[in-house]
Amino acid sequence: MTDPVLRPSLGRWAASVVVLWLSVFALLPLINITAGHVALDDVTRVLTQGSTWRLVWFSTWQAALSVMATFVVAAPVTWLIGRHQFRGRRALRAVTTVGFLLPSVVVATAFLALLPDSLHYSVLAVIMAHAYFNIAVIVRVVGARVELLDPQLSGAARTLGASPLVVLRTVTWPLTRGAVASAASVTFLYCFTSFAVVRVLGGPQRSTIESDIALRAFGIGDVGGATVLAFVQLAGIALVIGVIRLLAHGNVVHARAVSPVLPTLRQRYRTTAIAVALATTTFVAAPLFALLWRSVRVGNTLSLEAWRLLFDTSLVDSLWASARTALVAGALGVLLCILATIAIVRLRAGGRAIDALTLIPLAMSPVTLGLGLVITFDVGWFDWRAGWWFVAVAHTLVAFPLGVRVLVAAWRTTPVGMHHAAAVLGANSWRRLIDVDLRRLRPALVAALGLIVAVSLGEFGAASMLSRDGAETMPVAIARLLSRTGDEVRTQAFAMASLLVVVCVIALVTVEASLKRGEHARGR
Amino acid sequence: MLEVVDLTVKRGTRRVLDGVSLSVQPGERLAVHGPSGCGKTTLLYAIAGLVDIERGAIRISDRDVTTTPAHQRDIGLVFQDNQLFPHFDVADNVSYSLRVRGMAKRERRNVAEEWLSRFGLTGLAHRRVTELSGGEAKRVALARTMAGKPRVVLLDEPLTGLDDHLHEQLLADIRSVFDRLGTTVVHVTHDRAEGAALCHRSMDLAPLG
Amino acid sequence: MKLRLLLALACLTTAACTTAEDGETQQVTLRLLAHDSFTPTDGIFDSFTKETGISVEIVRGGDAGTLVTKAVLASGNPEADVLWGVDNTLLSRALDANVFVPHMSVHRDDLDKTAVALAPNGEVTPVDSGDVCINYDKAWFAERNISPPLTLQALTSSTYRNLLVVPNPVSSSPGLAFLLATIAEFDDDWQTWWTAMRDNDVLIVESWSDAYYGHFTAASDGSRPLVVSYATSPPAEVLFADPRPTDAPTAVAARTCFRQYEFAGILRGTEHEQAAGLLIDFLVSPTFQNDLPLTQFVWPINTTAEVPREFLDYALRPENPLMIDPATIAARRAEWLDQFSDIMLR
Repeated sequence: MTDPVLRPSLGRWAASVVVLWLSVFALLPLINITAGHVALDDVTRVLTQGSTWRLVWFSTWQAALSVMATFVVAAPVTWLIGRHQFRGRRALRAVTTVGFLLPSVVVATAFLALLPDSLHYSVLAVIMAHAYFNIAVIVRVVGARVELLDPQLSGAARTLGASPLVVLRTVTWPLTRGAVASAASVTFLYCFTSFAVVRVLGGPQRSTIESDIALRAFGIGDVGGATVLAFVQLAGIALVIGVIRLLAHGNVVHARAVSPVLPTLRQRYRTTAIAVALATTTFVAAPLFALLWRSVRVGNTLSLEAWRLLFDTSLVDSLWASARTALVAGALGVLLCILATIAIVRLRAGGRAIDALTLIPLAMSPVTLGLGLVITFDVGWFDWRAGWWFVAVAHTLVAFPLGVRVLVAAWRTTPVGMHHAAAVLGANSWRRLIDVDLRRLRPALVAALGLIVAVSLGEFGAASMLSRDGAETMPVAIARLLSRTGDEVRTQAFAMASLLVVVCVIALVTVEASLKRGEHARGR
Repeated sequence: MLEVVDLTVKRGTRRVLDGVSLSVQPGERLAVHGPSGCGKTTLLYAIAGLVDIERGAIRISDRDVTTTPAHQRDIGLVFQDNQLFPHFDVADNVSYSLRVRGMAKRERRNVAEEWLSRFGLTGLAHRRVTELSGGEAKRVALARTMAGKPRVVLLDEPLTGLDDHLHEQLLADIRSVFDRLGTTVVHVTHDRAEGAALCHRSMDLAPLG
Repeated sequence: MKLRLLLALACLTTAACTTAEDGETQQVTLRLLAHDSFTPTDGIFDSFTKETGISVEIVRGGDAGTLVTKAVLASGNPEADVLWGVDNTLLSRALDANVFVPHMSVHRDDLDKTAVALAPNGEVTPVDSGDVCINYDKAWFAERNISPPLTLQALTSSTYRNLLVVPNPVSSSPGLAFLLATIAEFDDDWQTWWTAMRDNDVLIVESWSDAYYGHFTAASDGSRPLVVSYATSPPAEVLFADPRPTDAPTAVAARTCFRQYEFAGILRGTEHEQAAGLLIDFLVSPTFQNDLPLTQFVWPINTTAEVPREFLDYALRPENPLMIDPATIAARRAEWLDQFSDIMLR
């Protein structure tokens, strides 16, 4: 039964744009590098090496543990934010997002400064840093779903005799496990392909597939072997995500049309809530204070010299470079997100295919992707290798899969009836798309935009891989300052990192504020 | 059977209920009237244990349940918007309270069938709840509440929004079930005729401030 | 199909570009692709532009290893005209891939002879040099009345147990240089030395900055007074500190040094070969070379360049550094790194 109002033609059109974009900027580079630089010998060499399977094993188990740790750290605050209305809720949610936005090099360095020596170069440090990064994924993805659950649904279960635990098992879990699986997949992906964190905090003895790809490609110059490893990584991720989806399979029920108003925090949860908020904020803030502290400490003295130097020299250029890259990536990314989402919600089998397809860029090794882009777009008008905006194109690939997850979740809450109403009132399918879907979903769109901008602001891997004329983006500048000689230079790196945190937080607050306005406009 | 004494509920700093008292005898059905916004729903939620109360006491069969968690109060609540579980079919919704008490699946299905037939829902056991009509959904919600045999049943505007014909029919069905089982009921409605038709006695909840 | 269309378009546009270029004698802008540590004084190219009419645009593309890998992948179709920053540990990889066009600089006779000899056909031109050595925290050793180690062999003594931190040779260029230093020093016995060091609790960390700013007592809260770093780290400690100390807090063990040379070359496939040659000449001219010590902490390669007084005061220039021929490095690096990993990292 097809609904004539929700005709799939728009979906097909959107799907083809998304597929084209992914083919040109993700698939083509991958094919190019494989065709040009991988010999059969590379495949057998890499696959028969014992070290390859050690890499696979380490990547897998540390990622699995990291996912669990992330859930442990994020669950209390997700419960708090997702189920309750209280003063400072938005602020707390913004706080949880900070970790996700920071360049991994910076966070890894901050953790190194924070943790006692005995934890340096341990798996525990790696897992803690991974949890730090991914709290936001859980809070945003699972929290968004939990928020849409009518609190009175669990009230109904309670009056029927279910204890809070039973409610969790029989009502809340079945209705949220889709989101949990989705958040777990994304977190697993990030941890499995972790690069900077594993290299800085794990020490040289520990390597994920991704960090080994970089070592092979740049340390040894073995591009063929590195590409084969990239495929091993892709296969590993596909396998694990498949398993997670299978585990979460079942009738995934979509949210109610109208998101209910969250109940205010009940008195007896007050202490717990304050404890959760404080613990989360401390966990997020501690590394940031370590950064700030190191930005004013030169040797054993305190000084603001680094900040002064920063403002005297390259800072403005880097800020501008980061800003324009993030804006272009944000604009292109949101457009792609909208198209991908239309395809996913309007098409049946095709929608599921696009849904899976949009995960691929996340699973692709940024190193391999970067190299692929460099050797693919290198002729005539298509020689984009040193263009600053080419970094933005790479960022759309890295960031838009996340935006898609945000949009799809919100989009599915639009009741079909609203489309019918608009159609009866004379709106054609374009008008309906704009008036019903996009206008109604403005908060979700802004959230997706904020996410993409933030990812672009903090992204390091692809930005460092692609060359650039003029100024470098802030994460790249930070990494470069960090690797140079001289206390003053390094202190500048920490100052710039602190500043990047501020920029990210401003971006975030802007997004949250515009969401708030959007809600007021709708009479909440 | 049910006794509410001096019940006060605050939302933020605003009082939504101020010193409400009522008492219902076993088997008695009490209608609570009042304009919208006077706290009728809040009263039911407070009795059921779904909102924190500021002051006052709630007793069921002379037992103080003021601090008892909702799932141990043995009070049934039929929500105005039903709150059916979207991930269960009709039979699983109806038998949910039995599942919570650990009844085996097969037995549970039998009890569910029984309740479905009492509410005229035979044959709908495997229907998804999202595919029910308004009247059917309300019947499922009632059956779900009754299946757990609560000592007191709270009804929140159970017949609002149904057309006249359905309204009459459902009212008759509910009354016959309640009469047969001798259910103790608190029935919140803005419709005095409806209250009079279903209940033995009525009271008014005055609007605040 | 899509691919073919893209290629067709690409050919068309390249052709169009080339004719436009031939038609007019417009001002040339050269792209200088450099690693992230390339930080000359702002405006240093102004005099070059004034003299030749050629502007220079600096393009940065990651660390030296990344640059070389990318240059090899783009061999014949480069993304820039000139590459700065291939060092002798990476040189053969680039030369084998035929990445560069030979160029004999007008300053060739003034350049360090040993460095020039590493690329006898002029594929690349040496631009600077530096040494990777054991650095030590002077105060730490003075306070404890222990003499700092003078040779690599001495490091295996139990006196220096738990004291040395080394960046990973697989991921760090000074780390690799240090591994090569041990191979140059001990020949076939180098693995024995590393095994002894492992038993002496040497710490391997990911990068040079982790080692120096994460563990070295003179530069961090760390606990290791010995670190693998540059021979020019002591002047950096002085010149970048505020207030400047009169004496460097760290010093270098001169007999542990491995020499690194950096090279620049014209990328094969450039449309501005002649202009690129002029730029190479400028890069090794005294004007540019004089700028190197204090901006990038390396030694000029041009022997006529003037090294600033403050640099000479604190920097050490080992007389007989350890070295290995680039071709040998290229042939055996992967094998050496594998063996190193087997001993130290597994």
